[in-house]
Amino acid sequence: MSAISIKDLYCGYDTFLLSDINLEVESGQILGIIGPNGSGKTTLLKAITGLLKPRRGEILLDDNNLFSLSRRELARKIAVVAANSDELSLSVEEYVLLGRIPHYGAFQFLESDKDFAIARQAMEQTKVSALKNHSILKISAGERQLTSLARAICQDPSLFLLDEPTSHLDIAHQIGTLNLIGDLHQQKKFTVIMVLHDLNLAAQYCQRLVLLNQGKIVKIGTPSQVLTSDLIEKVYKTPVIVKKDPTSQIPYMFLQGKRFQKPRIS
Amino acid sequence: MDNKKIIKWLLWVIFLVLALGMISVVAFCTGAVKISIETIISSIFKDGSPTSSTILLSIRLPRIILAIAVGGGLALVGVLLQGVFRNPLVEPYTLGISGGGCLGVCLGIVTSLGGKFGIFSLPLLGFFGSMAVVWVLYVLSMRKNVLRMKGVLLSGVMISYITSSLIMLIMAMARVTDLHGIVFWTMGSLEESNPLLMKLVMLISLAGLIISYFLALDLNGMSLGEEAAMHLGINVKRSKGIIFFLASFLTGSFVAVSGIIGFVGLVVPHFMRIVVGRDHRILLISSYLGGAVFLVFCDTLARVVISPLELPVGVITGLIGGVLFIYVLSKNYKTL
Repeated sequence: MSAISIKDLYCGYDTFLLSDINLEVESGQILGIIGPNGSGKTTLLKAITGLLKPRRGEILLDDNNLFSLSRRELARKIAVVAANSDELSLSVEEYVLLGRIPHYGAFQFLESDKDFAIARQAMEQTKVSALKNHSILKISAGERQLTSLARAICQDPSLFLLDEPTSHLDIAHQIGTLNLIGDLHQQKKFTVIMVLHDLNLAAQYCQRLVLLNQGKIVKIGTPSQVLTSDLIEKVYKTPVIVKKDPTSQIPYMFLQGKRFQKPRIS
Repeated sequence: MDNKKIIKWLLWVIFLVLALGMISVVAFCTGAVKISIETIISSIFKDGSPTSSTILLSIRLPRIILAIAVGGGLALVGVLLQGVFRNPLVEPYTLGISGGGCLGVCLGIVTSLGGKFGIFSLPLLGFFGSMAVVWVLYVLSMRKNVLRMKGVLLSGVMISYITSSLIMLIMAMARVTDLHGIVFWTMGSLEESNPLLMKLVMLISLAGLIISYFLALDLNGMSLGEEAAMHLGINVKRSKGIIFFLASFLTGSFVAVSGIIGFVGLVVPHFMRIVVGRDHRILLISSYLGGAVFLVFCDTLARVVISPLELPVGVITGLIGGVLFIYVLSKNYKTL
């Protein structure tokens, strides 16, 4: 079954338009969206969350049209971890508990014991329990990313959308965050769609990749199908060398500084 | 875990209710005319001297009730607007909503509009003035269907300059008999002689408090930003519309009975956030009660500082609030 099915989608702004997007995301898959800056990755995520109305085409979420669902119904199915957040001073625990809002009953005004239990578990999974009384403005970027994940887990979604979950993080937190997403995916079998800039991390953690360029899909496939030196050079206009990781056989890309590039005859 | 939070919240509410009770008793017992405690007790429970019982029950008591309604309501509007704009410096006064209401009232005084609908004409004009400012703010901050919240404070401050200039223009051209009324409204005073209007304002203020509680969770979600709030299933557009309407309705009503009383919506929520936290489920009620305490206190001060003369209460709230505004601006207000 498809978790998300996008048909002939045209969507965007006056200055930028995603066009002719056709994409099926199977339920339980980890899909990576890659592409150069300004290629439409975040716009595609916004279309899937229903923030941007399509000009043409449709998006089906579990076989329902996205716009037939209320925001509240959407929030129970989709959790979003955005790239640049702009929060006010809340404690980590308060922040994580906000993820329970979509599940409140009609006349529920306070968190139930169940809500607290879910939040506690989410904070344990993301290892931020010790910080629960700290202000989210005073913890590190890595801890903040984990806190955002904990909030998203509280939403108990079937689809996780992450916009550049590893940006501004050191390598330990990059791997830590993605490992956590991988582990959660193993446990709960939800679908993950994430925008990634680091192609090597995308190759390691995603089962399928979508390569975008100038608002169009260039290629959909497994990491070995998408991450070929020809395609990447064409889209990113940057020479790369692609080798296979000896143990996993996953493609690995090497960037070359100008002084190491061999002169080419074209 | 749950219970602990509830108990803490309840204790704060009880504390603030007690504080409000105490300050009200103090306000009841102080004033230009010295009335001893015995006289007060006897004039409430027995038939005391008619003069003191008139002073107490028809002058001081209505004034305290009005201070509670207006102070609580203004603080509530402050919390609501600060929640929507995600900026602790916005409130009816700094956004010019009070100024717009006052301009409406002043226009009513100098033109024939003021008498068209009996005693409700000035409150109605105040309401329309406030609505007009909210509408202008909305149009100014709307760009490509996205409400940009960043420039709104600056626009608001400019609007309040424009309204106060227009009010001065009206004053310059007004008849001497109208001047007193205009001055009264621009400085803010809780001296309202009409008991019907006073009861109405109390009702409006309480209704505002009740309605605001339906928005408490939405406001909590909006503290993450508008997009994030939408991802949590909050109908941001609808909540914002309701809050704008409620804020201008409440402010317009308050300006119409008590004139411009600035900065209550800034000072009180600011301190309440420090003591009770940012959760709107407790912040709304505690700011309401805190605003009531603050305004009863300021009004008592206004009555006794240069007794037997009286200061406009807006002067006192303006002094306290203005100093705080500068202090907050000079700090990184996000961490507050």
